Amino acid sequence: MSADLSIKNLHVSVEGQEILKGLDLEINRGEIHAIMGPNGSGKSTLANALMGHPAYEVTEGEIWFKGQNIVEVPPDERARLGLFLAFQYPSSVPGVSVANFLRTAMNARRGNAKAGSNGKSPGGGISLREFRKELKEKMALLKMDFGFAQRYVNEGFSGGEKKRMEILQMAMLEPEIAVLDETDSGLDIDALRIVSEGVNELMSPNLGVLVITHYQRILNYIKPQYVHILVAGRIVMSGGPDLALELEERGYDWVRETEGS
Amino acid sequence: MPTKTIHQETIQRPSLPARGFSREALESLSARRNEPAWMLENRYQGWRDYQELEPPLWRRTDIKALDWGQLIPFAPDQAAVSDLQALPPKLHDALSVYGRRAGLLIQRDSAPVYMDLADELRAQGVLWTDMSTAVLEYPELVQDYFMTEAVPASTDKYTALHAAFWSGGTFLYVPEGLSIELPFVSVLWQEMPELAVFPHTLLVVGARSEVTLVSELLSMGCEACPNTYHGGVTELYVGAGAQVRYVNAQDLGRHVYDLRSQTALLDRDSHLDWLSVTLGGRVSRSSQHSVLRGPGGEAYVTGLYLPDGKQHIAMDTLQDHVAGNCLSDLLYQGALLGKSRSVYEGTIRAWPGAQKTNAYQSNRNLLLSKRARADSIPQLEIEANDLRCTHGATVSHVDQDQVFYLMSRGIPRPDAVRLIVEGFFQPSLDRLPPSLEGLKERLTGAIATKLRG
Repeated sequence: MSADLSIKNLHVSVEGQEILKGLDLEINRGEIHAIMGPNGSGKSTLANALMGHPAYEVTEGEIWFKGQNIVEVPPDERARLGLFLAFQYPSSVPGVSVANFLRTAMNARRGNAKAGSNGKSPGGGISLREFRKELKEKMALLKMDFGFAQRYVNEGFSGGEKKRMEILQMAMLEPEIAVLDETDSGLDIDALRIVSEGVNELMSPNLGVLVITHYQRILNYIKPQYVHILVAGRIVMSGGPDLALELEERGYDWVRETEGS
Repeated sequence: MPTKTIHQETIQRPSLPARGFSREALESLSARRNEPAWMLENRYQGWRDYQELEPPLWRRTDIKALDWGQLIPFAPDQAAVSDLQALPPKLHDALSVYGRRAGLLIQRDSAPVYMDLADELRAQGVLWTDMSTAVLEYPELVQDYFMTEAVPASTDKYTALHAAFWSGGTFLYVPEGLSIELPFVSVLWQEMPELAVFPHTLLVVGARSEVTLVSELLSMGCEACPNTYHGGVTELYVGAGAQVRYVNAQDLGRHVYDLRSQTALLDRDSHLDWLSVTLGGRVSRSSQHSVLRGPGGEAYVTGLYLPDGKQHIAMDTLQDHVAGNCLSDLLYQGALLGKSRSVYEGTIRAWPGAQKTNAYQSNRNLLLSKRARADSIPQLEIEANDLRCTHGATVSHVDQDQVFYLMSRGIPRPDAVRLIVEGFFQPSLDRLPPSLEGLKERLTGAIATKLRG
């Protein structure tokens, strides 16, 4: 029985330079994993490669999800299969309201990819009433004002608002595996708490989470069962929650030394 | 409730006029409209100008494929309709977006077929009718404003042809001090192939009045039809302190050559909000000129265009600061599909003495295909020395990070691109007021349809 998400010997290059050099990782729904690593270790490369960003080329290895190797599967299809990435630097989409965007995405995720984006859903997607109800609930969970729904996606959002917007999307799209790429970066302590509580609320036996982070701080709020340390494109250490604390105390040099010896 | 007035009591079905433009043809047109001698003389003068003027030198726009000799100069009159249900389905659907309105005027090819005007506005002295009726009923007003200052007949060869052969169009006169919230709507439905239609829009707004006019140009989509011509002229007179919103939207068939001249003259302290949408036509070339001739005038000018296939859309704008202390703020934005091409030429002109001018011009182009091409040619003619003036033009592709972001949420690539382009246009469409919410939705839908291909 293989894991819900199974990454095998993953090699990824960006602009011809190899960043990930044979990464193995297994994540099941119901689990929280953390990947910690210093700058340049390949954390964001892993996140982008998992989601299928065209600039990240998988040169070797496999990513198994929902019974198929998704390495050649385009990003939209990965998302519809139930994979989710909370971006470190989400794009803004001027002129497209949060509500319009989320409804289009939900209709796509729920198998109504042809549904309209301007308030109509010819494909029989989620009704406007149902959508608004759900959006209100999820926004309340993240302590977001409902007026937010009419703003343009990430346009002029503060750092904290952007991260909340990412978790809101996660809440609405109900993925099976969610990757949080440096969700803690740029957040003050209050925003970090709100975002983390939101993620904890969403945790269920049907959701597996991979938290990618440089710092241990976020792991005080989102408690992983498994911690992996990424250095130079490979996972060099795996362990329980204590590993994050030990790392925080001893620093990445300790890992490099241990690895080197 | 608006009342209906049917203008043509007797419907004649004369045979088609001969093809091509001639003195005889214009005399026949004028006679059928029972025009007074002064209008016939106007037409003669237009015809003389047309024969004398050389075609304008358009380096980027080619209309050689249009055979002027094959065009039918005007159509026989259409039967008036009392029931909008009797109109062609596409036209009927288009009208369904207008809820409450101040007045509605529908023209099929060369002649009006329907009009209504709210009773209380009629009582307040608002004049709203088709242009031919205006010539007969309000000759003094028409003589004052028709192709005199805003778009003189001799502006170029095509405005001269318009002066000689204009047919139908829209006349709206609003007396001083009236504030009209509901929109006036004028729709031209162009249906006969090979016909030349020359509608004339004349809007005269008295001091301190507020009014909204929407002018739509529509036709059946007809890729295979022989070349057809639209040669419209629009003249907007915005009185002192008046506030005018004008929307013109063109969604003509791919067999139509669309050459339009549009000019607004703004008096002191007036305010104009002008949205121009170009979606259709084989070749479309339109001008949109705002002349600020009294201090304190403000012109907000927005243009939106979306050519696909082999469409060519050329636009020329002028922000003409004759008086000082005026503001003009222009945004032209387009997205291009297929092998289409757009040409934007925009001029800001500040005359000597036009001090304290604020003039902004921005042209943004989004290329959605490798084979599409957008040209942007901004120009400044500044003869004042105390002013603020900026202009900028961009031609870019859809941002791939945005596309990836949307795709990562399960949205397929074509829908992601469509959403981004709709978003690109949204701020322009958001300028439409709540009373035109239906039109905004239809335009959004028309844009989405074009983007779906």
